Amino acid sequence: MKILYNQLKQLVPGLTVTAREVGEVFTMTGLMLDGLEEVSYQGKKDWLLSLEVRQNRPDCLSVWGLARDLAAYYGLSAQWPVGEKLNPVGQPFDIKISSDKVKRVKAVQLAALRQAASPAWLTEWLAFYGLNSVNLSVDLSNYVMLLTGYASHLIDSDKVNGRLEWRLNQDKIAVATLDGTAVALTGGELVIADQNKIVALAGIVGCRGAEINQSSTNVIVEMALYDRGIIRENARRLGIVTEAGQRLSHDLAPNGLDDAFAYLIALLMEHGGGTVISPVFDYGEAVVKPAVIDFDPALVSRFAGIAVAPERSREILENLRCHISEAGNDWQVTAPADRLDLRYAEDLVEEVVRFVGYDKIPIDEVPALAVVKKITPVLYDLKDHLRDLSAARGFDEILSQPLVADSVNNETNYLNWQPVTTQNSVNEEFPDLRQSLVTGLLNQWQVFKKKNINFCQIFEIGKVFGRSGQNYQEHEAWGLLRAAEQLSVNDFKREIEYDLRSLGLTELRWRPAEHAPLLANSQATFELTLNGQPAGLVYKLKPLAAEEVVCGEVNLDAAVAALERDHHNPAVEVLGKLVALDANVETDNPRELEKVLERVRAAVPVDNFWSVAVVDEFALAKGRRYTVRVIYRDLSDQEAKESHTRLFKK
Amino acid sequence: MNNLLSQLKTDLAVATDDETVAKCWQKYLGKAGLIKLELKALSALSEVEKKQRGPAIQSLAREAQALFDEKQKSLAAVVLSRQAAAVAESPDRRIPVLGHLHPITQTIRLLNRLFVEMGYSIMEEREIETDEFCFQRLNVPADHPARDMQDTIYVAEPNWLLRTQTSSIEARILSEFKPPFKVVSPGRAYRNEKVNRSNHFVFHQYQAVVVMEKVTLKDLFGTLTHLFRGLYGEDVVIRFRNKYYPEVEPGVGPDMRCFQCQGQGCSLCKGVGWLEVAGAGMIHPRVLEMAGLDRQKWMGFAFGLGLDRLVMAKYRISDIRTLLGGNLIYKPDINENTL
Repeated sequence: MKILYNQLKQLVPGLTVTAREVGEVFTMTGLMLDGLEEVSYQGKKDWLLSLEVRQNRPDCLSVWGLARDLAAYYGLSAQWPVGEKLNPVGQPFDIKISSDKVKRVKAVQLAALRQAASPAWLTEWLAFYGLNSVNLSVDLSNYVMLLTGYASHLIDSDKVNGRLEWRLNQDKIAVATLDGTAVALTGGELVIADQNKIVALAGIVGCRGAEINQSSTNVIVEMALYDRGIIRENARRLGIVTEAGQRLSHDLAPNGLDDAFAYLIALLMEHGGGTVISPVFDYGEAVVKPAVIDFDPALVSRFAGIAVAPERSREILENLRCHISEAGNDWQVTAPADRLDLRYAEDLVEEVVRFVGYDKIPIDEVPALAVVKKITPVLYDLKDHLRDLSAARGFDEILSQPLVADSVNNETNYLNWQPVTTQNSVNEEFPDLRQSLVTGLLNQWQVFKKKNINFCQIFEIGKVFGRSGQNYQEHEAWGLLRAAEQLSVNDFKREIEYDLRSLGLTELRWRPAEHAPLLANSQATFELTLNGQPAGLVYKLKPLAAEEVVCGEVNLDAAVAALERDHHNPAVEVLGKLVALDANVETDNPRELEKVLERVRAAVPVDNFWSVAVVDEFALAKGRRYTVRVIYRDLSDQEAKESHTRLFKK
Repeated sequence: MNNLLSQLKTDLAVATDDETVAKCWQKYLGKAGLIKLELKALSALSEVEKKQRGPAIQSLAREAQALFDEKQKSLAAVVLSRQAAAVAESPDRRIPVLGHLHPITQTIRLLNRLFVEMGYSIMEEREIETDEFCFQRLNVPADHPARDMQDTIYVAEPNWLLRTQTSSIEARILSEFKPPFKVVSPGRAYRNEKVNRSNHFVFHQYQAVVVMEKVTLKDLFGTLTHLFRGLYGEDVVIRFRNKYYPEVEPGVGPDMRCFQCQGQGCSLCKGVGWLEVAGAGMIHPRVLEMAGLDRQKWMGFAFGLGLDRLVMAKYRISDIRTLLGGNLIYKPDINENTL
């Protein structure tokens, strides 16, 4: 919101500080100065202040609102002109409100209005706000909107056919806005229409068909407030950004509309010479009951951390036009009707503290807050350890963006889940969330190759995403990629295994993967299990280039779950002895061997189980023969043999 | 004879390597060396003359050889010393190349260290978030104009989306943990923004939320000052001003004096002399209420800051896409094995 310094001085008599100081006060009290420009207005030097008005202060999207706030800060009074109340005259015109999205409307019909050229003071002033002069009536309408914050719309009543109605549009129809832009309505938009046509997109912009031009003399002036949500939604959906829409997509106080409307009518008649020929149409609640807030003045000090005397709080709140009545230690504070943002005691605290000054609060003391329980999850520490381990092993960390093409997910996914597709991705070629970190790692490798970096060891720790029905899933993963002229997938497995074991994961196995990603060499794809549960994959890529590439990915949520399940305690008391017995297993399916090992682990009682491992293998004409060694604990030789025989009997 | 010895000493004194010493040795003690010639000349002398001159020449030869031996020893010591120094300075090629952590990770670690020292926990949360936790529980209902600030990427409109801010973690923590707590949360957020040198649809934030029975704006300001001094050094100049954010009340806009112009105003700070570096405030009573917390008993502060621009400035990265796009390459350290 822009404002001229000299206009502020007119509205706030007694204001003696410089424009720069005004800017600093606005900045520190919540309306940040983001531009201060020396300008000339009406032949005199002036300063144009540009202020950032946040969403809580729509009252400050106006010259009057800013003047009021500045006056309150300095304890001064702000003054602005108001129009006279209009007396009922003539016949009411046909007007109807058919939507509950309309909160307030005031409208009146003027006749014999002249559309002279706007005076220089007006066109020059509007130019500061980036508005070109259209004609006298429209310029005055814009002027009052910027001055008061209330937007109005002017309709040539000679072009209106029948009743003027505020309603929700039901049709798919194209309309042309005042600047000639074609807009396709799809239904549901709040419009102002007569019997034949839409004359305005309510609260946003007027439409051609009933617009004011140089020959317009009979004019309907309307000023309205709407449900902020529908204005915001319509403006966004139709892609129309206007000063009116910007203001009406906020909650504005209905009681301020009366003054703004009266002032606009007064200005139109003063400069255009028309006469009012209808009673004022007045719809909706004129006044919203001001908020009454129970307020303990001690709350200011409690929040600020510095002493603020109740007298100072009272002074500030009264300068802000709050009414205070005391009830014991507490106050009842009635907020001004135009400050719809004041609802809670904390809102009043903010009002007081921003005027006391944030700069009065010490900033150099590191707070000694109470000691509290640590709630950092295991996963976070585990990820940090893995980063260190990966870097120590010579891997560089990358971070990649998670939106990918669906074809990429097809190639790299190895889990039993569906891709998550965004509905409005920033790039329609990349609609899906990644299902594997390998996508980003491969992209990075390609970049390395373009830069003649042939040896590549990279890793990423981040989220991967998937969907099971309508259940959106995501988990943390650790992905690694190594590319070089010659690589061993077994070395890669071993390195990952060492790192995971160093984190305390002991029940860790590899087995040939049943489902390999499309880009993987299925003969060199191995599934990682933790406590028997799938937890990751390591694979060599199908030959892509001169280099070989191995990738790995570990589900870290699964790793944490395994850590929490695995109460591994390597210190045990062996009262008897260890008995090692071998058995041969012949199979052409490595998964069968895994099943045998799992069967042994499950069958031998924990107190008698020491280990099971494949200690030898031999190629047969068909399949392979594996020598499995089981070591029993605290069993006699005879007991161990009996157990072993039971386990491996044909 | 004395002249010969003196000349030899002078020659040896200026010799600094084995080669020069060897040449010098040839000059004096080689087959045609000056001292050898003196010894050979003895054979042409009479026995008397041999007895008169012989011992002196042989003594000269022995002394000369001793000088050469001493010189070679001192040269060897110098070489050994140089070799030792060279070994000390050269990399051990048996040590493998070390990998590197991403600048974002390094920055997060720096921040984590600061906050863990102050007793904070570290939490992360889901990135596919619900509208409820990303907006509604942060006091941003569906029709709130503050939503205009955050163009959302939807997974299933209107309920499922990619979180637009790490404040959603705050909403989760408030609803899932019983206070008191002090938590920081590094994480990613997503907005539907065009990707260019300055903007990316994915960015990194650092969020903090503290809920206790007594905590003040002064505590918040002290914490943020500690944070910024940890990041930018003790000389950093910070100011706090009032600024609206829907999830806090009172709201705070922490600014840092522009490091480029020292507050004089420049293009970086758009002439105002300050750079916005975070968003902060006391947790809004509505946010506490929606989390089921008694706002008469509990109060808290929260803040969030963006990490990407901070990292770009620190590492002199000109294009934000570099952080996620592949052009970030780690230069080997000077001591790293480059075999």
